[in-house]
Amino acid sequence: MTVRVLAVWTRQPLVVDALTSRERERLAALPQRVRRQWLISRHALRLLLGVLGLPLDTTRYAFPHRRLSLTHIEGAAVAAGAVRDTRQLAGVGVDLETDREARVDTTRFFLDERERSWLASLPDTARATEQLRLWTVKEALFKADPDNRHTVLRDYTTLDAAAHRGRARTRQHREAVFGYASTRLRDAQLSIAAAFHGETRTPQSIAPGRETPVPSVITFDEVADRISSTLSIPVEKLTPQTTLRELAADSFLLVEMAVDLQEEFDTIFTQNELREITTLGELAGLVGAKV
Amino acid sequence: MTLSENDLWLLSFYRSSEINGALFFGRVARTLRGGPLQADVTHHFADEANHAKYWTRCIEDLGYNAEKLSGAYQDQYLEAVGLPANLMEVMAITQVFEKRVIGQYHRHLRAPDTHPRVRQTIETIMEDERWHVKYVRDALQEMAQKYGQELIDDTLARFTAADEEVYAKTLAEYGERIVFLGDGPVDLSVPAAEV
Repeated sequence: MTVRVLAVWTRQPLVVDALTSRERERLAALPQRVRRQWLISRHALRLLLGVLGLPLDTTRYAFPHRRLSLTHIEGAAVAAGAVRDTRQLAGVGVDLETDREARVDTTRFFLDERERSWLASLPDTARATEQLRLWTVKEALFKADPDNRHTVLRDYTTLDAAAHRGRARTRQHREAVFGYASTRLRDAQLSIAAAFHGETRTPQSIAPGRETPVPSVITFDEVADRISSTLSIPVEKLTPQTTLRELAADSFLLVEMAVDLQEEFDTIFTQNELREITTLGELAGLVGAKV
Repeated sequence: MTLSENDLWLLSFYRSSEINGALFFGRVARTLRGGPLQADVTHHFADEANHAKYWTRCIEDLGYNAEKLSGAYQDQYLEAVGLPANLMEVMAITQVFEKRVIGQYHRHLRAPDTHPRVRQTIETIMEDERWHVKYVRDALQEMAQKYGQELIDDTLARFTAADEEVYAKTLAEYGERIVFLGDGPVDLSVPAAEV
Protein backbone atom coordinates (compact mmCIF):
# COMPACT_ATOMS: atom_id res chain seq x y z
CA MET A 1 0.00 0.00 0.00
CA THR A 2 1.50 3.36 -0.94
CA VAL A 3 0.36 6.91 -0.77
CA ARG A 4 1.91 9.93 -2.45
CA VAL A 5 2.40 12.82 -0.05
CA LEU A 6 3.32 16.33 -1.08
CA ALA A 7 5.20 18.63 1.31
CA VAL A 8 5.48 22.41 1.02
CA TRP A 9 8.14 24.37 2.88
CA THR A 10 8.27 28.13 3.35
CA ARG A 11 9.90 30.84 5.38
CA GLN A 12 7.56 33.55 4.11
CA PRO A 13 4.58 34.66 6.17
CA LEU A 14 1.21 34.81 4.44
CA VAL A 15 0.37 38.39 3.52
CA VAL A 16 -2.29 39.64 5.91
CA ASP A 17 -4.34 41.06 3.03
CA ALA A 18 -4.71 37.52 1.68
CA LEU A 19 -6.37 36.22 4.84
CA THR A 20 -10.02 35.28 4.88
CA SER A 21 -12.21 36.96 7.48
CA ARG A 22 -12.12 33.86 9.68
CA GLU A 23 -8.36 33.71 9.41
CA ARG A 24 -8.17 37.36 10.41
CA GLU A 25 -10.22 36.59 13.49
CA ARG A 26 -7.90 33.74 14.40
CA LEU A 27 -4.87 35.95 13.92
CA ALA A 28 -6.34 38.74 16.02
CA ALA A 29 -6.88 36.31 18.91
CA LEU A 30 -3.21 35.32 18.97
CA PRO A 31 -0.53 37.00 21.08
CA GLN A 32 1.62 39.35 19.01
CA ARG A 33 4.76 37.25 19.49
CA VAL A 34 3.37 34.16 17.75
CA ARG A 35 1.59 35.87 14.87
CA ARG A 36 4.49 35.79 12.43
CA GLN A 37 5.03 32.08 12.98
CA TRP A 38 1.30 31.44 12.58
CA LEU A 39 1.31 33.33 9.27
CA ILE A 40 4.28 31.30 8.04
CA SER A 41 2.49 28.03 8.91
CA ARG A 42 -0.70 29.24 7.26
CA HIS A 43 1.29 30.20 4.18
CA ALA A 44 2.69 26.67 3.89
CA LEU A 45 -0.76 25.20 4.36
CA ARG A 46 -2.36 27.60 1.89
CA LEU A 47 0.20 26.74 -0.79
CA LEU A 48 -0.39 23.04 -0.22
CA LEU A 49 -4.16 23.40 -0.36
CA GLY A 50 -3.82 25.26 -3.65
CA VAL A 51 -1.70 22.49 -5.16
CA LEU A 52 -4.05 19.79 -3.90
CA GLY A 53 -7.08 21.67 -5.21
CA LEU A 54 -8.72 21.97 -1.80
CA PRO A 55 -10.64 24.95 -0.37
CA LEU A 56 -8.11 27.61 0.67
CA ASP A 57 -9.59 28.88 3.93
CA THR A 58 -7.19 27.26 6.42
CA THR A 59 -9.64 27.63 9.31
CA ARG A 60 -11.73 24.88 7.69
CA TYR A 61 -9.09 22.31 8.65
CA ALA A 62 -8.63 20.98 12.16
CA PHE A 63 -5.65 18.87 13.14
CA PRO A 64 -5.20 15.96 13.33
CA HIS A 65 -6.51 15.69 9.78
CA ARG A 66 -6.82 12.47 7.83
CA ARG A 67 -5.07 13.92 4.80
CA LEU A 68 -3.06 16.94 6.03
CA SER A 69 -0.42 17.75 8.64
CA LEU A 70 1.55 20.82 9.65
CA THR A 71 4.80 21.48 11.54
CA HIS A 72 7.08 24.43 12.15
CA ILE A 73 10.48 25.41 13.43
CA GLU A 74 11.80 28.88 14.07
CA GLY A 75 10.81 31.01 11.11
CA ALA A 76 9.81 28.14 8.80
CA ALA A 77 6.94 25.72 8.33
CA VAL A 78 6.14 22.57 6.40
CA ALA A 79 2.66 21.45 5.37
CA ALA A 80 2.23 17.90 4.10
CA GLY A 81 -0.78 16.35 2.43
CA ALA A 82 -1.82 13.18 0.64
CA VAL A 83 -2.18 13.87 -3.06
CA ARG A 84 -5.19 11.56 -3.31
CA ASP A 85 -7.75 10.71 -0.71
CA THR A 86 -8.08 6.94 -0.41
CA ARG A 87 -10.15 4.81 1.92
CA GLN A 88 -7.03 3.04 3.18
CA LEU A 89 -5.47 6.26 4.42
CA ALA A 90 -6.02 6.87 8.13
CA GLY A 91 -3.80 9.87 8.73
CA VAL A 92 -0.76 11.91 7.73
CA GLY A 93 1.93 13.32 10.03
CA VAL A 94 4.90 15.58 9.43
CA ASP A 95 7.69 16.77 11.69
CA LEU A 96 10.64 19.07 11.12
CA GLU A 97 13.46 19.65 13.61
CA THR A 98 16.55 21.82 13.28
CA ASP A 99 19.92 20.09 13.83
CA ARG A 100 21.06 20.22 17.39
CA GLU A 101 23.00 18.39 20.05
CA ALA A 102 21.16 15.28 21.15
CA ARG A 103 21.46 13.73 24.59
CA VAL A 104 21.73 9.96 24.52
CA ASP A 105 19.90 9.56 27.82
CA THR A 106 16.70 10.93 26.28
CA THR A 107 16.38 8.09 23.77
CA ARG A 108 14.66 5.81 26.27
CA PHE A 109 11.61 8.01 26.04
CA PHE A 110 11.01 7.52 22.33
CA LEU A 111 13.04 4.55 21.09
CA ASP A 112 12.61 0.89 21.93
CA GLU A 113 15.54 -1.32 22.92
CA ARG A 114 16.21 -2.53 19.38
CA GLU A 115 16.28 1.02 18.03
CA ARG A 116 18.51 2.21 20.87
CA SER A 117 20.86 -0.67 20.30
CA TRP A 118 21.15 0.21 16.61
CA LEU A 119 21.73 3.87 17.47
CA ALA A 120 24.45 2.94 19.98
CA SER A 121 26.26 0.97 17.29
CA LEU A 122 26.77 4.11 15.16
CA PRO A 123 29.95 6.18 15.25
CA ASP A 124 29.67 9.32 17.37
CA THR A 125 29.69 11.52 14.28
CA ALA A 126 26.49 9.96 12.95
CA ARG A 127 24.64 9.31 16.18
CA ALA A 128 23.27 12.77 16.88
CA THR A 129 21.91 13.14 13.34
CA GLU A 130 20.26 9.73 13.37
CA GLN A 131 18.83 10.30 16.84
CA LEU A 132 17.21 13.51 15.66
CA ARG A 133 15.95 11.77 12.51
CA LEU A 134 14.34 9.02 14.57
CA TRP A 135 12.77 11.64 16.81
CA THR A 136 11.14 13.26 13.78
CA VAL A 137 10.03 9.84 12.52
CA LYS A 138 8.34 9.11 15.86
CA GLU A 139 6.71 12.52 16.00
CA ALA A 140 5.43 12.10 12.45
CA LEU A 141 4.10 8.59 13.24
CA PHE A 142 2.38 9.91 16.36
CA LYS A 143 0.77 12.75 14.44
CA ALA A 144 -0.36 10.40 11.67
CA ASP A 145 -2.02 8.00 14.09
CA PRO A 146 -5.63 9.07 14.68
CA ASP A 147 -5.82 6.53 17.48
CA ASN A 148 -3.03 8.05 19.59
CA ARG A 149 -5.02 9.03 22.64
CA HIS A 150 -3.26 6.44 24.78
CA THR A 151 0.08 6.20 23.04
CA VAL A 152 3.43 7.84 23.58
CA LEU A 153 6.29 8.13 21.10
CA ARG A 154 7.92 4.94 22.34
CA ASP A 155 4.82 2.97 21.38
CA TYR A 156 5.73 3.45 17.71
CA THR A 157 8.45 1.22 16.45
CA THR A 158 10.22 1.15 13.11
CA LEU A 159 10.74 -2.23 11.46
CA ASP A 160 14.25 -1.12 10.51
CA ALA A 161 15.61 1.85 12.41
CA ALA A 162 18.33 2.41 9.81
CA ALA A 163 15.85 2.81 6.95
CA HIS A 164 15.19 6.36 5.82
CA ARG A 165 12.06 5.09 4.05
CA GLY A 166 10.33 2.28 5.80
CA ARG A 167 7.44 0.81 7.70
CA ALA A 168 6.44 1.05 11.34
CA ARG A 169 3.84 -0.30 13.69
CA THR A 170 2.54 0.34 17.20
CA ARG A 171 2.91 -1.99 20.14
CA GLN A 172 -0.85 -2.32 20.31
CA HIS A 173 -1.13 -3.44 16.67
CA ARG A 174 1.52 -5.85 15.56
CA GLU A 175 1.10 -5.48 11.82
CA ALA A 176 2.85 -2.60 10.10
CA VAL A 177 0.27 0.03 9.41
CA PHE A 178 2.53 3.01 8.95
CA GLY A 179 4.86 4.10 6.21
CA TYR A 180 7.37 6.90 6.64
CA ALA A 181 10.15 8.73 4.82
CA SER A 182 12.90 10.98 6.17
CA THR A 183 15.07 13.47 4.40
CA ARG A 184 17.37 16.40 5.05
CA LEU A 185 15.90 19.84 4.51
CA ARG A 186 18.67 22.45 4.74
CA ASP A 187 19.85 22.34 8.36
CA ALA A 188 16.91 20.29 9.54
CA GLN A 189 15.47 16.79 9.54
CA LEU A 190 12.10 16.25 7.90
CA SER A 191 9.98 13.14 8.34
CA ILE A 192 6.58 12.39 6.93
CA ALA A 193 4.43 9.43 7.97
CA ALA A 194 1.16 7.95 6.78
CA ALA A 195 -1.13 5.65 8.74
CA PHE A 196 -3.18 3.01 6.96
CA HIS A 197 -6.13 0.91 7.97
CA GLY A 198 -4.61 -2.49 8.66
CA GLU A 199 -6.28 -5.89 8.78
CA THR A 200 -7.02 -5.67 12.47
CA ARG A 201 -7.38 -1.92 12.50
CA THR A 202 -10.57 -1.56 10.59
CA PRO A 203 -11.61 1.85 9.36
CA GLN A 204 -14.25 1.72 12.09
CA SER A 205 -11.78 1.26 14.89
CA ILE A 206 -9.07 3.60 13.66
CA ALA A 207 -11.25 6.38 12.35
CA PRO A 208 -14.24 6.91 14.58
CA GLY A 209 -17.51 7.79 12.97
CA ARG A 210 -19.26 11.07 13.49
CA GLU A 211 -20.90 9.83 16.67
CA THR A 212 -17.49 9.21 18.23
CA PRO A 213 -15.44 12.24 19.18
CA VAL A 214 -12.27 12.53 17.17
CA PRO A 215 -9.32 11.94 19.52
CA SER A 216 -7.42 15.06 20.39
CA VAL A 217 -3.72 15.15 19.66
CA ILE A 218 -1.36 17.24 21.72
CA THR A 219 1.67 18.11 19.65
CA PHE A 220 4.99 19.37 20.86
CA ASP A 221 4.19 22.72 19.26
CA GLU A 222 1.06 23.15 21.36
CA VAL A 223 2.88 22.35 24.58
CA ALA A 224 5.73 24.65 23.57
CA ASP A 225 3.26 27.46 22.91
CA ARG A 226 1.82 27.14 26.41
CA ILE A 227 5.22 27.03 28.05
CA SER A 228 6.39 29.97 26.00
CA SER A 229 3.46 31.96 27.27
CA THR A 230 3.81 30.84 30.92
CA LEU A 231 7.54 31.39 31.15
CA SER A 232 7.78 34.30 28.69
CA ILE A 233 10.36 32.50 26.56
CA PRO A 234 10.24 32.84 22.75
CA VAL A 235 8.65 29.69 21.36
CA GLU A 236 11.43 29.45 18.77
CA LYS A 237 13.87 28.70 21.57
CA LEU A 238 11.91 25.69 22.77
CA THR A 239 12.87 22.35 21.30
CA PRO A 240 12.14 18.77 22.34
CA GLN A 241 15.69 18.57 23.69
CA THR A 242 15.43 21.71 25.82
CA THR A 243 15.83 20.64 29.42
CA LEU A 244 13.45 21.79 32.12
CA ARG A 245 16.44 22.88 34.16
CA GLU A 246 17.44 25.30 31.38
CA LEU A 247 13.97 26.80 31.38
CA ALA A 248 13.28 27.25 35.03
CA ALA A 249 15.75 29.23 37.05
CA ASP A 250 13.90 28.34 40.21
CA SER A 251 12.00 25.18 40.86
CA PHE A 252 8.65 26.79 41.48
CA LEU A 253 8.59 27.89 37.85
CA LEU A 254 8.34 24.19 37.05
CA VAL A 255 5.29 23.98 39.29
CA GLU A 256 3.72 26.93 37.50
CA MET A 257 4.45 25.32 34.16
CA ALA A 258 3.10 21.93 35.22
CA VAL A 259 -0.07 23.36 36.75
CA ASP A 260 -0.67 25.54 33.72
CA LEU A 261 -0.32 22.60 31.32
CA GLN A 262 -2.70 20.52 33.42
CA GLU A 263 -5.21 23.34 33.48
CA GLU A 264 -4.90 23.91 29.76
CA PHE A 265 -5.07 20.30 28.65
CA ASP A 266 -7.36 19.14 31.46
CA THR A 267 -5.12 16.40 32.75
CA ILE A 268 -3.39 15.40 35.98
CA PHE A 269 0.33 14.75 36.54
CA THR A 270 1.74 12.94 39.54
CA GLN A 271 4.99 13.69 41.33
CA ASN A 272 6.44 10.38 40.13
CA GLU A 273 5.68 11.20 36.52
CA LEU A 274 7.22 14.66 36.77
CA ARG A 275 10.32 13.28 38.45
CA GLU A 276 11.01 11.20 35.33
CA ILE A 277 10.81 14.18 33.01
CA THR A 278 13.95 16.04 32.06
CA THR A 279 13.22 17.57 28.65
CA LEU A 280 10.39 19.39 26.95
CA GLY A 281 10.01 16.55 24.47
CA GLU A 282 9.35 14.17 27.33
CA LEU A 283 6.95 16.62 28.90
CA ALA A 284 5.04 16.94 25.62
CA GLY A 285 4.98 13.15 25.41
CA LEU A 286 3.55 12.96 28.92
CA VAL A 287 0.84 15.49 28.10
CA GLY A 288 0.02 13.63 24.88
CA ALA A 289 -0.14 10.32 26.71
CA LYS A 290 -2.44 11.65 29.42
CA VAL A 291 -4.91 13.65 27.39
CA MET B 1 9.32 48.41 74.53
CA THR B 2 12.58 46.59 74.40
CA LEU B 3 12.55 43.55 72.17
CA SER B 4 15.05 40.86 72.94
CA GLU B 5 17.15 39.56 70.08
CA ASN B 6 14.95 36.46 69.99
CA ASP B 7 11.72 38.51 70.00
CA LEU B 8 12.93 40.53 67.05
CA TRP B 9 14.10 37.43 65.23
CA LEU B 10 10.74 35.68 65.63
CA LEU B 11 8.67 38.67 64.50
CA SER B 12 11.03 39.07 61.54
CA PHE B 13 10.65 35.34 60.82
CA TYR B 14 6.88 35.76 60.73
CA ARG B 15 7.24 38.69 58.37
CA SER B 16 9.61 36.78 56.13
CA SER B 17 7.29 33.75 56.05
CA GLU B 18 4.35 35.93 55.09
CA ILE B 19 6.37 37.49 52.26
CA ASN B 20 7.27 34.06 50.98
CA GLY B 21 3.63 33.00 51.28
CA ALA B 22 2.61 36.00 49.18
CA LEU B 23 5.19 35.14 46.53
CA PHE B 24 4.01 31.54 46.48
CA PHE B 25 0.32 32.35 46.16
CA GLY B 26 0.99 35.08 43.64
CA ARG B 27 2.54 32.50 41.40
CA VAL B 28 -0.23 30.00 41.98
CA ALA B 29 -2.81 32.70 41.24
CA ARG B 30 -1.04 33.45 37.98
CA THR B 31 -1.46 29.88 36.73
CA LEU B 32 -5.15 29.46 37.52
CA ARG B 33 -8.01 29.72 35.08
CA GLY B 34 -10.82 32.14 35.80
CA GLY B 35 -13.28 30.97 38.44
CA PRO B 36 -13.89 30.91 42.17
CA LEU B 37 -10.56 29.32 43.01
CA GLN B 38 -8.67 31.94 41.00
CA ALA B 39 -10.48 34.64 42.98
CA ASP B 40 -9.80 32.94 46.32
CA VAL B 41 -6.12 32.30 45.65
CA THR B 42 -5.66 35.88 44.45
CA HIS B 43 -7.33 37.06 47.68
CA HIS B 44 -5.02 34.77 49.63
CA PHE B 45 -2.00 36.24 47.82
CA ALA B 46 -3.11 39.74 48.82
CA ASP B 47 -3.71 38.64 52.44
CA GLU B 48 -0.21 37.24 52.77
CA ALA B 49 1.28 40.46 51.44
CA ASN B 50 -0.83 42.43 53.92
CA HIS B 51 0.32 40.20 56.76
CA ALA B 52 3.91 40.98 55.87
CA LYS B 53 2.97 44.66 55.98
CA TYR B 54 1.31 44.23 59.41
CA TRP B 55 4.45 42.63 60.81
CA THR B 56 6.68 45.30 59.31
CA ARG B 57 4.54 48.02 60.92
CA CYS B 58 4.29 46.16 64.20
CA ILE B 59 8.06 45.86 64.43
CA GLU B 60 8.46 49.53 63.50
CA ASP B 61 5.87 50.59 66.10
CA LEU B 62 7.92 48.75 68.67
CA GLY B 63 10.91 50.84 67.64
CA TYR B 64 12.84 48.40 65.48
CA ASN B 65 13.44 47.42 61.87
CA ALA B 66 12.65 43.92 60.69
CA GLU B 67 15.69 41.72 60.22
CA LYS B 68 16.53 40.46 56.79
CA LEU B 69 16.30 36.68 56.93
CA SER B 70 17.50 34.37 54.25
CA GLY B 71 15.69 31.19 53.34
CA ALA B 72 12.14 30.48 54.31
CA TYR B 73 10.14 27.87 56.12
CA GLN B 74 8.32 27.23 52.84
CA ASP B 75 11.58 26.35 51.08
CA GLN B 76 12.25 23.59 53.58
CA TYR B 77 8.71 22.43 53.05
CA LEU B 78 9.10 22.02 49.33
CA GLU B 79 12.41 20.30 49.89
CA ALA B 80 10.81 17.79 52.23
CA VAL B 81 7.62 17.04 50.29
CA GLY B 82 8.93 17.57 46.78
CA LEU B 83 7.47 20.04 44.35
CA PRO B 84 3.70 19.86 44.12
CA ALA B 85 2.86 18.14 40.85
CA ASN B 86 -0.68 19.40 40.39
CA LEU B 87 -3.22 21.86 41.72
CA MET B 88 -4.57 19.43 44.28
CA GLU B 89 -1.10 19.02 45.76
CA VAL B 90 -0.65 22.80 45.85
CA MET B 91 -3.90 23.09 47.81
CA ALA B 92 -2.99 20.18 50.08
CA ILE B 93 0.37 21.75 50.96
CA THR B 94 -1.43 25.01 51.60
CA GLN B 95 -3.89 23.39 53.98
CA VAL B 96 -1.17 21.71 55.99
CA PHE B 97 0.92 24.87 56.05
CA GLU B 98 -1.95 27.11 57.07
CA LYS B 99 -2.77 24.82 59.95
CA ARG B 100 0.82 25.03 61.03
CA VAL B 101 0.69 28.85 60.89
CA ILE B 102 -2.49 28.96 62.96
CA GLY B 103 -0.97 26.55 65.50
CA GLN B 104 2.16 28.70 65.77
CA TYR B 105 0.24 31.97 66.19
CA HIS B 106 -1.98 30.34 68.83
CA ARG B 107 1.07 29.27 70.70
CA HIS B 108 2.39 32.82 70.60
CA LEU B 109 -0.89 34.22 71.91
CA ARG B 110 -0.75 31.83 74.84
CA ALA B 111 2.76 32.93 75.76
CA PRO B 112 2.99 35.11 78.88
CA ASP B 113 4.04 38.72 78.43
CA THR B 114 3.15 38.91 74.77
CA HIS B 115 3.16 42.60 73.93
CA PRO B 116 -0.33 43.99 73.16
CA ARG B 117 0.89 45.30 69.80
CA VAL B 118 2.12 41.83 68.85
CA ARG B 119 -1.09 40.27 70.13
CA GLN B 120 -3.14 42.73 68.07
CA THR B 121 -1.16 41.88 64.94
CA ILE B 122 -1.57 38.13 65.43
CA GLU B 123 -5.29 38.47 66.09
CA THR B 124 -5.77 40.52 62.94
CA ILE B 125 -3.88 37.98 60.89
CA MET B 126 -5.73 35.04 62.46
CA GLU B 127 -9.02 36.31 61.08
CA ASP B 128 -7.67 35.86 57.58
CA GLU B 129 -5.97 32.56 58.36
CA ARG B 130 -9.26 30.98 59.40
CA TRP B 131 -10.75 31.87 56.06
CA HIS B 132 -7.67 30.51 54.27
CA VAL B 133 -8.08 27.10 55.85
CA LYS B 134 -11.78 27.09 55.06
CA TYR B 135 -11.52 27.98 51.39
CA VAL B 136 -8.68 25.54 50.86
CA ARG B 137 -10.65 22.78 52.57
CA ASP B 138 -13.64 23.57 50.35
CA ALA B 139 -11.43 23.56 47.25
CA LEU B 140 -10.05 20.16 48.17
CA GLN B 141 -13.57 18.84 48.67
CA GLU B 142 -14.47 20.09 45.20
CA MET B 143 -11.40 18.40 43.79
CA ALA B 144 -12.41 15.00 45.17
CA GLN B 145 -14.48 14.41 42.07
CA LYS B 146 -11.51 14.90 39.79
CA TYR B 147 -8.65 13.48 41.87
CA GLY B 148 -10.48 10.99 44.10
CA GLN B 149 -10.90 11.34 47.86
CA GLU B 150 -8.42 8.59 48.60
CA LEU B 151 -5.61 10.31 46.72
CA ILE B 152 -6.39 13.60 48.46
CA ASP B 153 -6.37 11.92 51.88
CA ASP B 154 -3.09 10.16 51.08
CA THR B 155 -1.54 13.42 49.89
CA LEU B 156 -2.64 15.29 53.01
CA ALA B 157 -1.23 12.51 55.19
CA ARG B 158 2.07 12.61 53.31
CA PHE B 159 2.35 16.38 53.58
CA THR B 160 1.34 16.37 57.25
CA ALA B 161 4.13 13.90 58.01
CA ALA B 162 6.58 16.11 56.09
CA ASP B 163 5.30 19.17 57.96
CA GLU B 164 6.02 17.55 61.30
CA GLU B 165 9.49 16.67 60.13
CA VAL B 166 10.21 20.20 58.94
CA TYR B 167 8.81 21.76 62.10
CA ALA B 168 10.91 19.45 64.24
CA LYS B 169 13.98 20.42 62.20
CA THR B 170 13.14 24.10 62.60
CA LEU B 171 12.78 23.68 66.34
CA ALA B 172 16.11 21.89 66.49
CA GLU B 173 17.73 24.75 64.63
CA TYR B 174 16.00 27.73 66.19
CA GLY B 175 14.41 26.23 69.31
CA GLU B 176 16.36 28.43 71.69
CA ARG B 177 14.93 31.52 70.00
CA ILE B 178 11.36 30.59 70.84
CA VAL B 179 11.79 29.18 74.30
CA PHE B 180 10.02 32.26 75.63
CA LEU B 181 6.81 31.04 74.00
CA GLY B 182 6.61 28.39 76.70
CA ASP B 183 8.44 25.23 77.48
CA GLY B 184 5.55 22.82 77.20
CA PRO B 185 5.34 20.25 74.46
CA VAL B 186 4.97 21.66 70.99
CA ASP B 187 1.34 21.59 69.98
CA LEU B 188 1.18 20.44 66.39
CA SER B 189 -2.56 20.33 66.21
CA VAL B 190 -4.97 23.07 65.32
CA PRO B 191 -7.95 23.68 67.56
CA ALA B 192 -11.02 22.22 65.86
CA ALA B 193 -12.97 25.44 66.25
CA GLU B 194 -10.42 27.21 64.10
CA VAL B 195 -10.89 24.94 61.11
